[in-house]
Amino acid sequence: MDEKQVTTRRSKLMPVEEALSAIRPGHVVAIGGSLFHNKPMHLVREIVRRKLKDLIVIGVPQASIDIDLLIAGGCVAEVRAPYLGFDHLGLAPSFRRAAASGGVRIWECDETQLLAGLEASAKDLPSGLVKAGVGTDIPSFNPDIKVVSDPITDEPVIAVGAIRPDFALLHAAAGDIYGNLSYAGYPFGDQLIAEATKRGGGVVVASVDEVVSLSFAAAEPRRTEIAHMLVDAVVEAPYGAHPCSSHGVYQFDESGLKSYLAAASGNPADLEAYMDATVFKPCGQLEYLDAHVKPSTLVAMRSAIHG
Amino acid sequence: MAEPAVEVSWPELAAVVLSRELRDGEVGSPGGARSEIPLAAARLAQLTHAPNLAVVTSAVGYVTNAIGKPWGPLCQSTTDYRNIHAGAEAVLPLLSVFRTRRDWFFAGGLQVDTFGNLNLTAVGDIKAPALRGPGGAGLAYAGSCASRYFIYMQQHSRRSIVDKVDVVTSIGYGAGPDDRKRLGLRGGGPVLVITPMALFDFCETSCRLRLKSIHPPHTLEEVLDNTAARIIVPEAVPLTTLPSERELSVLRQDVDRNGILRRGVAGSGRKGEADAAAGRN
Repeated sequence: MDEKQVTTRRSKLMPVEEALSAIRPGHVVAIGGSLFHNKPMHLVREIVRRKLKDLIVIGVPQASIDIDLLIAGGCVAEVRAPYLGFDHLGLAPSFRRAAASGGVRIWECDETQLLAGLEASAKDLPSGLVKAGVGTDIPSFNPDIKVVSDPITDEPVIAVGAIRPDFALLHAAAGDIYGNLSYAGYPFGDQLIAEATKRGGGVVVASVDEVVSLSFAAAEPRRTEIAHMLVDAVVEAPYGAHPCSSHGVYQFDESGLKSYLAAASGNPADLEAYMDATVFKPCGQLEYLDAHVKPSTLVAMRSAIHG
Repeated sequence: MAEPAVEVSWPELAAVVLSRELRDGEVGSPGGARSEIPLAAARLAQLTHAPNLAVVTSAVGYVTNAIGKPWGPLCQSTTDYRNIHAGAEAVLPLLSVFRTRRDWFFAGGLQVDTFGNLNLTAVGDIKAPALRGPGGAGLAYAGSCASRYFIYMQQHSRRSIVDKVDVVTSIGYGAGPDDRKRLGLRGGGPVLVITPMALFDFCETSCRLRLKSIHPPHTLEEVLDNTAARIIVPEAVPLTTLPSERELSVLRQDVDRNGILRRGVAGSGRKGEADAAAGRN
């Protein structure tokens, strides 16, 4: 054996630039959280900042500003999200515009279909079966979603091809330097996304509000939702989900979401100014916070969690 | 019918009408574009006639019951941490959310048609849509598996209540009575549609949308003028039963203490199309 003997455990804590250095145009990028919760916005802004093109982005189970900002930044060739909108705040403006002009391809799907595709990857199967979507128009728009006869009973079911992301971007409340991740609220589909990505040979990157000591996971291993072997890189990003929530830690910043919506719904100069100020100018997460989030807003986001 | 002593907003009326449909011992999930309406309906049902009703918050597996819990605010976004945390007793992993039985779901859409099919995908040509919707979220799943589901539409117009949806995001009765059985769909399909003007059910034999009651002060003529779907209109159409004193007092004091159901009523305070388009499950 000429391999060097390893005696120390490797830290996966690294700067965002290093964590995302291998993303290339055309890659399939799955983003965790849901709607405007647990969205790794610090990681998303880094991708926009690098002006990566032609990404296939997956929002599991639901997406909002994460994918809409990537579309606004010109990074997206194809959207795979069962829901892309802003819930009670309205539609996703950049998505809506791009859909009307044909600027992005849309992989039409239901939540269960997208989850079945990821589950297939996590289990290393070619496809997954669901019932949802039989009798709908979705299969006629999406060649990866097929109505087939169940091989045992012949009843009509839907087969979804395995989805193997090249990158998974997640946001967790806390993580240690080895990649054990814990969530304060709901982890949504993050575990499945990590499993599907790793099993398919991809890279899992997580931003965390707080880097905690290893003893945190060791003391309460049941609180680790995602185990370290599923995680390749940990990026420290306090309030890294802003303007989205970090579920159970801080509430989403509705005014922050609305300022994006206003910029993206206005004229191109508004959007350009917004992107410049929030994405291109700040050097890192702390500068972003200093420039865009008042301390009183951060306090309100924290206290809103408890009603 | 006597005028109500207090004015009731449309979301309040919808929450009360829908709460009457939820039975004790059931398991269901609120959803749709104004999810505070079904969430209020479920909490009201728990606090009035269905104490053993289990609510699984959609796409977030918190299992909640309002009985004996400190009051929690009713919030506009289903997945808002305050909403799902209020009265939570258990948390299901995401995949379990899709493996748990549902007696009912709530759904909304850009368009609903005479057979209860829903469109949340796009209005117009799918390649260059006049209005791109947000997508169906888990609507196709809800529509194919729940024992029954309720549809609520924030707009009642000829553009939203149509004869045939532009895109079938979620199947109701397909093209008629036999489709659900032929396709082997598990649930029974949609049972009610409530709009700001009226309440509909579906004819047992034809599966077509049928006018069930009209919310005062709206009129039959108004409903027909604003409906593009070919619907069944019975000879006598009653007015929708307004909330009782008890229903309204529990709703306002124990469920919607912060009054969000009285704010931003569709058609008056909010931008109609975009709101309707935000329809989600």
